[in-house]
Amino acid sequence: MSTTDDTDATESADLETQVLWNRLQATADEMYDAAERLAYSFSIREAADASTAVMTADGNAIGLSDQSVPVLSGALSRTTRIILEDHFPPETLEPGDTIITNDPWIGGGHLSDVVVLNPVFHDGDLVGITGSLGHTDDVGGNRGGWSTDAEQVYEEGILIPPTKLYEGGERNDAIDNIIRSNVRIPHQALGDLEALRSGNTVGEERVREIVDDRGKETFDRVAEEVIDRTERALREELADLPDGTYEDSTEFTVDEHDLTIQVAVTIDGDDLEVDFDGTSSQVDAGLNCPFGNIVTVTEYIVKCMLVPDLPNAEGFFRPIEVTAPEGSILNCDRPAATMARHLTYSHAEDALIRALGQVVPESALSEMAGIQLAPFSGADENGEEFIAVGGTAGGFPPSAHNDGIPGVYFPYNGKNTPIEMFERYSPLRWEETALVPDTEGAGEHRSGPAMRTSYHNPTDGPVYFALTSGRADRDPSGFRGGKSGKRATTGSSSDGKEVPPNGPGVLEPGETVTLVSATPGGYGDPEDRDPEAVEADVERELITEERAREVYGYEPDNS
Amino acid sequence: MPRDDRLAHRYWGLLLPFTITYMRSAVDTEDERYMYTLGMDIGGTFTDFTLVDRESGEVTVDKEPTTPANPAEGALTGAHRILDENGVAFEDLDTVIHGTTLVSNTLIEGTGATTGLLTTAGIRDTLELRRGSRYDMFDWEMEYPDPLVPRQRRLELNERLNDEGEVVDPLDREEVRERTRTLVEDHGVDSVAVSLLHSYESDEHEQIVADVIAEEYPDLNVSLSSEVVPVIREYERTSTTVINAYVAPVVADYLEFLQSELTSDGFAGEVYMMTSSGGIVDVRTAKAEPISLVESGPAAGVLASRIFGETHDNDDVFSFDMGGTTAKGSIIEDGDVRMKYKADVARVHRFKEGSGYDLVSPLIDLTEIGAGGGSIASVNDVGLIEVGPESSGSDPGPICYNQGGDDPTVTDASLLLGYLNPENFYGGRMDLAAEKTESIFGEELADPLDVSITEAAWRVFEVVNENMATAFRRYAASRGLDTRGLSMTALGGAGPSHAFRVARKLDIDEVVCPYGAGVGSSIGLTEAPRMYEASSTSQAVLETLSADDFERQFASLREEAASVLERAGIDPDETEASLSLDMRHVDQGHEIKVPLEGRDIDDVTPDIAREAFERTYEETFNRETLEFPVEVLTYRLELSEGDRDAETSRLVVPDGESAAPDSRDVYFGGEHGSVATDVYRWDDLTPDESIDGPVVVEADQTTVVADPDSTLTVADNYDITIEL
Repeated sequence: MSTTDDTDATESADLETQVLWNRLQATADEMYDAAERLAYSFSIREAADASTAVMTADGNAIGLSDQSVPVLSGALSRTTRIILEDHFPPETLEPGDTIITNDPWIGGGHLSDVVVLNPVFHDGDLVGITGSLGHTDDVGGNRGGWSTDAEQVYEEGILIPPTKLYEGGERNDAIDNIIRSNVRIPHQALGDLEALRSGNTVGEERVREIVDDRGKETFDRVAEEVIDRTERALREELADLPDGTYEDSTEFTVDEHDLTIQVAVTIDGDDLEVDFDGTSSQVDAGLNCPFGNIVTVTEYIVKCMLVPDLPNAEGFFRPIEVTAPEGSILNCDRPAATMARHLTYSHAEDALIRALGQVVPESALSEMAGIQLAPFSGADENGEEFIAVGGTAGGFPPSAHNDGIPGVYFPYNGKNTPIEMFERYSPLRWEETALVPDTEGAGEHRSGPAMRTSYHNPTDGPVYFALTSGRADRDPSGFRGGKSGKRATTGSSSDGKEVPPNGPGVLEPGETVTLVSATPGGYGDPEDRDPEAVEADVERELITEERAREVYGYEPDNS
Repeated sequence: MPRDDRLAHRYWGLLLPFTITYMRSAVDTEDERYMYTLGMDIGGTFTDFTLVDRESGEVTVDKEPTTPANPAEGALTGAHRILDENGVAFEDLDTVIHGTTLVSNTLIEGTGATTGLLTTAGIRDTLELRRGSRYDMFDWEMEYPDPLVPRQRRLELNERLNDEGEVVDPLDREEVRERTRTLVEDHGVDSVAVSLLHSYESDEHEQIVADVIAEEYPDLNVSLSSEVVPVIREYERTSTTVINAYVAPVVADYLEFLQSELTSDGFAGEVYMMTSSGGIVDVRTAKAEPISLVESGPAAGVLASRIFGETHDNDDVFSFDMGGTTAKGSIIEDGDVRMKYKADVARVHRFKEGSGYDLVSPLIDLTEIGAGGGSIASVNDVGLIEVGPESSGSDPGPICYNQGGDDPTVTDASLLLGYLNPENFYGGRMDLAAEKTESIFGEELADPLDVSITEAAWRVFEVVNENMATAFRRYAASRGLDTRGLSMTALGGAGPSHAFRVARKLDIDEVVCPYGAGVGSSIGLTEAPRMYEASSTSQAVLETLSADDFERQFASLREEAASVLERAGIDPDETEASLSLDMRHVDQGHEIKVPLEGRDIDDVTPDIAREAFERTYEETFNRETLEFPVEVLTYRLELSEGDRDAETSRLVVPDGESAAPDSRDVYFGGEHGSVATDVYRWDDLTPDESIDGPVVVEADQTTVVADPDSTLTVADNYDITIEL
């Protein structure tokens, strides 16, 4: 929103800030675009599981790509500060360096999330750092990508501590060889690293251009202002909210693990404390979150509910203090397994939405449905290894304003895999992507129906998969009188074969496996739903007339 | 035409306030029929016209309010007038080049055909499920538009091709027949989109579907994904094909109506449509692939800016085109218009990118926002002025038009600030209702904000300018471009009066308002070099290709493009081809467009392609390529008639007689406030004259405003440059 009463002098300083801020933000988007376009893994190139950031020399984010996956969005700057402090202090960096790591406790929370950082030098000075983070589908280890079944991180793949992949522009062949020797599809893993590095080199050039254009002092001034302004904006919003502590808790079960998450949100003046005390201890399964994950998802939910229109930057993280008990599923110790940690943190997000929803009810949502991820791997007819990712999305939950949207990833912000790409890069046949009638969380605003996908193995050999299914243990609950949605399910075409919703499995020759997403709960009483909207749902075959009568009190006009 | 008549027309041209002064050298070719080209660009509020006498090269312009109910009516009214006033008969006209917002308006208003979709078994919901991502991850109020084809009209066919295009499950013709009957008889569809899996690779099954439908319902419109957009990724291809099917009957009806009206007026030439990519297509192609017309009008404005840039030796231009409904911005770099291949139209959520219908098609890369003269201003919940994106359009229009509009608009604000002349607006065809405008501005804006009416008007003006500047900055920044140092070309009815403020906000210090700026985009229609881009997809690893493969691909594209241009009356021998390839490393997700500069169709080799790939990769990503194999996916060929000599056609300028300016108070905000300002008629300016701001220059189709800190100069051809 523009104001009109600025004097010309402050207008020009403000204008400069605005122009450069836009450029920093756009640089992050451009970096993202480059990384996505050049990537090899399905998860980055088709599913957009990545994030990019422009940071100051001390690792504060001043441009974050809007397309990032939420859990990864705030992760880059936190990772960068850890690396600058504990691994590569600024004096050890030189032009042409590229640092990589996939350490879950430093980076994105599981081995597949690979962080790549490039220092940006201008006339010999370190002026900033560009970073890209992406989900590479192949990190070795057990077959999967988001498997729940490992007990320790060692089973999940190769772990590379912060290391220079490039030093002064020269590639470190030893690292290259170590990676090559530990993964199934080397050119894919290495290609992803190079794609992420390309995002950074694009960003490097843009940052240098800005410093060339405006000088380092202006760049630093604007960076500081971006951080100050975002911090101030959130603080102002917090100051307007009633002080107090708002609590929520949730219980859920994955495999044989019964887990609890508790959260207490305290607003104190213009500070926000989010404490997960009372949350379950870590478990011997890939369900544990390193602390960084819970910090970034908290920041994400707070931003969405309080200041969604604000451009994202570091200052915005500062008023928020997150704590979680050490050794818990939200702050696990090494060497816990973490691959499927999204199954856990999405429940923390639900609890947080409900807790904050006590303060800003108009921003709250009904319980989310989560996502199903289904990486398939094996060897094709020619013996070549492949990894192709399928899955479903439970949709965006309904709110005070709108119906939910089916098939949308939430809170994760990825994309589905096109069938045509999946079939081109795997020997499998993707049979179906469909909406399932009568599965919505009913309400004045209903959720979308469930999404069903199925995969057929026409080859002579076995194909491996590793499923994670959000909300397979119980139906997501409604909000404010809304009915609950449906839990996620899995099934096989083979008689009597059960496919567990979480964990590894084998797709035998000739077999078809089917995944049905969960659906979010409804929002508000279904009897209050606009009869025309109910009629439209019936007409579109999303809800049968029978269900419409029973649940929504639908009375068709027979005329 | 007898010579005396021509003189008479010249005389009338001088008197009539509606057209820019008309003049023609006395060429005595009594027996020969003059050949004229007419450009018509239908915008949201006005339709612009350009008439080119191809014998003398002289160009005349005019405009007419758009008639939203049937845009062809306003177009025909205006066409009659500009021809009559210039003494040109429809028989003298051999070419009409047409730009229209018809396609985007049909999508925005939801007035397309009742459309059905036939698709592969199992995937009918692909259209509704989209790609599953959120275009703004922080905005929990996000929405998507309802699919153009609702679920009950999306029917499935039991068939399958594999990714090589081979038949896995054969198609059953009987099933096609039944499904089509259901669509037509039970659902009343007028148009069918057909999108089958892997049909980017083989059109075999889609062609059978088309055959069966043609047997059953010969008049039913059918759009095949393999023809409309044969690209991999089923959602994007299906969405594009559905949009095409949805608008095709509307476009066909419109073009048939327009053609028959023109024909009954005596027109015997050809109608061509401008495409979103700035190319042209004949009516037959336009009817089959209306998807290519989504940005038909806006594209012409960018082409016009490029031409005006050339006239002023500016290769780096910011094209700013502001009409009644929207404003368009685009950057021309080194004389090149930027292209993109994806867009979303008819955005439903706060005009956010990604909240509309997705399509894949070549388009000029421009940004368009809901900010125009007709944009409506209001005071929002937090006591700030908001402007747009709603527009009063041409009906009812701004308050000051006195045609029933009672919402404050940007044009009204311009009137209250003194930028517009209440007595001589639109060439005197319209008196502006100043008092009524003042009173509504007082009630709706000034009183709630507790400011003067003039201050309220200034805030409206500033907010819309800031909105545009913000959109333009984002556009520039997201492409790694900078607006500083560019020369702005201001076009459209509202462009020249807003340019001085928008330019300052973008750190641009030169604004060019070409003579005829008010109808600039229609000048782009007739004057831009005509071109057509053809492309084909054929995936192969570079090492497996030979020079012959490249030549074969490009030769067939050249043939396709040449036949389109030939139908547009262009001699293929007079054209230039520019080639490019979409390439990537094998297994990468997305390709990059690699120009093959200076190459002909018969001298591309794998080595040349590789070098070009490496160069583009380095330029784009600031790094070297990988040591992994490279593949080619798409071949592109742009055939263009080549740059016309800027001197061959030109706007007819006044005879050089100057007149003293009037004066009125004009408000410039901030430290300046209200200033006594000289007001010139554009035609009364003196070439090579330099005038210190503030100054207002009025023409029939637009008004130029320059603030007190600027200097305005007039070129020989009457183009105005404002130095800020």
